[in-house]
Amino acid sequence: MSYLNNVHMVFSGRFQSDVSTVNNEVTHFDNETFEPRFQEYGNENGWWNPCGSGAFRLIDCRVTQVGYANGATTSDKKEDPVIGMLIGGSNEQTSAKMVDLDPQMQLVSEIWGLTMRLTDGKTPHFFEGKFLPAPFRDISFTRIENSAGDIGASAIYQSVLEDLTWVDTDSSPFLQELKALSEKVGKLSVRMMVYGYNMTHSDPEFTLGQVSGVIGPALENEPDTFISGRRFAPANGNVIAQSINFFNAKVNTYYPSVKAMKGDVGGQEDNASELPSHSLNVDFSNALPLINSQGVFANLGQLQLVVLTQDFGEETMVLSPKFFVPVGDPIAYLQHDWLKQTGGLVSIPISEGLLPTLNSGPLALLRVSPTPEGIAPLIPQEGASASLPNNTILIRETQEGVLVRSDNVVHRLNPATQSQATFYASQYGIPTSLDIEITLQPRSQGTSGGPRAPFINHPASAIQFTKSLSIPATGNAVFTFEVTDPKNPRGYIDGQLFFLSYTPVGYADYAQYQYDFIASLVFDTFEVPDSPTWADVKDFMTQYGNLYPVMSRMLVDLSDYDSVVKFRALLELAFTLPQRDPNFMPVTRDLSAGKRQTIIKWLTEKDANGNYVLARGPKNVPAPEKAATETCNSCEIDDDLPTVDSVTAQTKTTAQQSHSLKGQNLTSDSSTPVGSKTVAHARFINSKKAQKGK
Amino acid sequence: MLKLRKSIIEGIRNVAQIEELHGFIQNAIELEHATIPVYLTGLFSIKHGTNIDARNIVLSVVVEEMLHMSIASNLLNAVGGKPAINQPNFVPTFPGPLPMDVGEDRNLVATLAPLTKKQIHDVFMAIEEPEHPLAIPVKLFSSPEQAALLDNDSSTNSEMLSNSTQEFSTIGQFYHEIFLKLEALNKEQNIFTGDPKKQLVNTQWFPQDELFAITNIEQAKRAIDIIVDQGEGTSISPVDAQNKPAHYYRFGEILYGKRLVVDKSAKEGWAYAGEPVELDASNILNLKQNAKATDYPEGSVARRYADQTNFTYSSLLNALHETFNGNPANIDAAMGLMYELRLQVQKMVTINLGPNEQGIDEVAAPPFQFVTVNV
Repeated sequence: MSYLNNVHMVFSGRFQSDVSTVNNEVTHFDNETFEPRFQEYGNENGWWNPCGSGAFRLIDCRVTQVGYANGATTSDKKEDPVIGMLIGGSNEQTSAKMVDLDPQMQLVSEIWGLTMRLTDGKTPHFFEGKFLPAPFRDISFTRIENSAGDIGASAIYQSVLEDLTWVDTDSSPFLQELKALSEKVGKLSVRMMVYGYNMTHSDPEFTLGQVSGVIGPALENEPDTFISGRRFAPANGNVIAQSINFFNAKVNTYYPSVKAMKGDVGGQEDNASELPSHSLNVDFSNALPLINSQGVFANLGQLQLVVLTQDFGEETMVLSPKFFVPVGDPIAYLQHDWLKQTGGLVSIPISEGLLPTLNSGPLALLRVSPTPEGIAPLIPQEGASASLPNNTILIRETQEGVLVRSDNVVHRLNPATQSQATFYASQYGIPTSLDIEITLQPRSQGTSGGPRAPFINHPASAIQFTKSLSIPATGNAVFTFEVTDPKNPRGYIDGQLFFLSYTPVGYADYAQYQYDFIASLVFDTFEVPDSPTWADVKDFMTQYGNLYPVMSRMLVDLSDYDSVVKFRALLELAFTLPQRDPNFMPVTRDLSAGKRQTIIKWLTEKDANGNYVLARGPKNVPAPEKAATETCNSCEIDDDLPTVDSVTAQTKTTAQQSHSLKGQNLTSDSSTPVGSKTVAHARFINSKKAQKGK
Repeated sequence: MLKLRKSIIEGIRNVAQIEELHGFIQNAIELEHATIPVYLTGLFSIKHGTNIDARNIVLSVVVEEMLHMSIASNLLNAVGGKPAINQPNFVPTFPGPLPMDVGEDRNLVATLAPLTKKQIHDVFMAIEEPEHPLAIPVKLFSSPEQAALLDNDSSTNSEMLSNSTQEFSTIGQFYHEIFLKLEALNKEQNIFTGDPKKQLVNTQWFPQDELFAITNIEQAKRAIDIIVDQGEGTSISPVDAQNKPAHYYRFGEILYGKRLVVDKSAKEGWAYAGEPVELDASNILNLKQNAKATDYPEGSVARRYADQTNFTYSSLLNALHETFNGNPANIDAAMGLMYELRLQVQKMVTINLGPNEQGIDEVAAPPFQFVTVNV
């Protein structure tokens, strides 16, 4: 069922992703060649936010609408008191963190340590739960077509809230429905579509963006991080000509008594005399192009969901009505504040009569009116007029309605361990048996560093897996793989990245999101010394000191023995916390178990008198006197900073730099359509700025 | 010596049940906390890497205030009370009086302001002044300004002494009265009925001989003595049991620009005659004084930082509330929040607000307001 059903709560507001950017460049991990200028703001230095803290925050996110099982919705506080309440992060813990997997894979960044709560400011939480770390998915770099902002990207974070606690749901009919549905599983499903991120250092909104959120029930046997349902997919696996991105839909079933609503798994009707009802729920939030970072959609004309009765492809024009069955009314996406009010969700009641059609043919999004004035023709092809014919398929469901995705995308693994990923397979939304092929991606250089970057995806011997997996009729299967010591193939940076691709067997035209894969960072083996000294930890601590000036220049310089000793207790705390704690160090979660044990051992070893040893090294030679830490200019908030040096520089900044909505690497991956779109987009923005005389 | 209304002392004396004393110990927690934003603002005004000695002095006092707040919370828990730290009225309004109107006798106004000698003299030292400050000589003035301040200081002292009427009592007396009442009630029946698991005893952050479990009257006495001695020193010495100058005299080192050292030629045996303690005004940021979040325009970067630091500060108070209400291990979460707050403020104070009404450039400063949501 997930958030994508009638019982859901929409919230809208802002997010902050204060990511640090010195680590955007893999070569900055090399202590030997690291230069102080890499900690400074600017292209080719520390990029656009060298002093970022990594914090991820939800700011002023207000509940704008709730929906009930019967399909009704309200935005009226008098009808449901949760309207206008806030969805926020924890008010008793440090901020959550935004975490890259690796400088060479910046496109599966996860949110760690996020607690989400519903509050009216008086009751600290009506419900509260911990966000299971999950990477963004379905990123589109061409989302905001005419934005004056720096970034036109959007992406979806979908996950679940675990360890739920509820306080007082009495006053809200919605909370009662939601709680009743969630009690068995004890989780809630949450989606955050993030867009309109601001990368301009001198802007008051710097590091802030917009979030369109939805929370709904999570049911058993469902994936936590994507919708197992119906998937609209651009045929080229990227984005269609008019920037419509991948999006999802789901057919839901409701039983007459709200309390007896079991969703679509194992439901038993309480009252057999009444038939269950159905809805098709569609999430357009990350699908249609926007014209600005306020969430206003571009006018693509009148859009209608249909079921195709024959297998027509994307870009088909003048589709005769005899080949499709309309589902619901035209999409109201051009209504004022539609995204903020509805979260981009559409709910269409489905009659028993329509259900068999819906469950057996591909869905499509049709433009049923001529191209509105001022909108570029969809497909400039021979003989087509500027005004496009009616009934054009803009985007359609995957080949034969097949969907296969892994729930567990990101893996951080110590050598000689196993890991697992659960695959879900369905056809037209119904669980199905399916064979998939799994392959290790070829050697490449990942998302940063250009030609100087180390190669990833090797040695292949360090990751062992079966190349085929049969998913049974239940529609899910666990894939287990093993990793061994990659033996430091990247030199100055620990471990190695391995990307496993998967494809359904027998569906040659299956369109798949580029980063639907299994991404593993496998650490090198690191033997823990019996009595570690500073010499054993200095190298990797120096790397952190180099890469994170927010720590090294403002609090504790991890490359400096004296500074580390001074903050011994704090470091012991941070290095021994559970990985999901928001205070966990390193924030980047890229320290192997061996190195972690070594630093903890070094920090905590005591002598016979109970004093901390903190051994310097074999000879116990005092370290050379270090100059006092200089003021960190890059941490200063200065509106005089130049924002853009040149078209090239801006292009590179947007294209190469990472944050929650990262750009693709230009040099190492410039052949990908996503990357080139980013470049084109950045050029466009820059020319706009030039026009404004910025 | 800051004083409080005698009626408070009388209130303590009139207590018949331990529950009636809870409110007074809660007041002590509030008072210990109230000084922290004041001192932190001074600390944050010091430019990174400068005024090291002054910085260390202020920092050492802040840390002890945090200790005192923890001790007072342990004390309240020890006698079955519930520290209330996550309340809007827990936080003083700046500028304004300290909790219990402490300092009303001399019209003390606690302010959030940059670290200047004037702020140290008028606010920091006023807050920390012992009942009978020792007249410690200052040797080798480096500027007439300092001499002038000392003169003012002595005049204040004499004025204060004459002002010592029946209306007001000292903080030391306040704590002493709390102790006497604890002792008296404990003679009737054991009042240390609080759950010992609620005691914060964490050697990672405070030495065990300073922060310990309070489960009986002897420990309560020792705990109260630490608060009073560290803050005020004793009537015969400016240093506490660990030989550290009490807060008042530590701040005096910045004011007079000299370390406090033993000096047998001086009447009190001590003099401000040691190593220089520099306060280089050119390396003090001109923080906006007593800022409220709403003082910053909506949509400005300063406003975002004001709102965010308020939320982080309030989260810290929430975390401390949980720490002292049954989950002492939560002090670790609170520590994380302290450092997050620090990093945010370090960035915030680089925001130049432009000239103020006096035409002097100001930088943004954290407001220390209690908020419940991040907006």
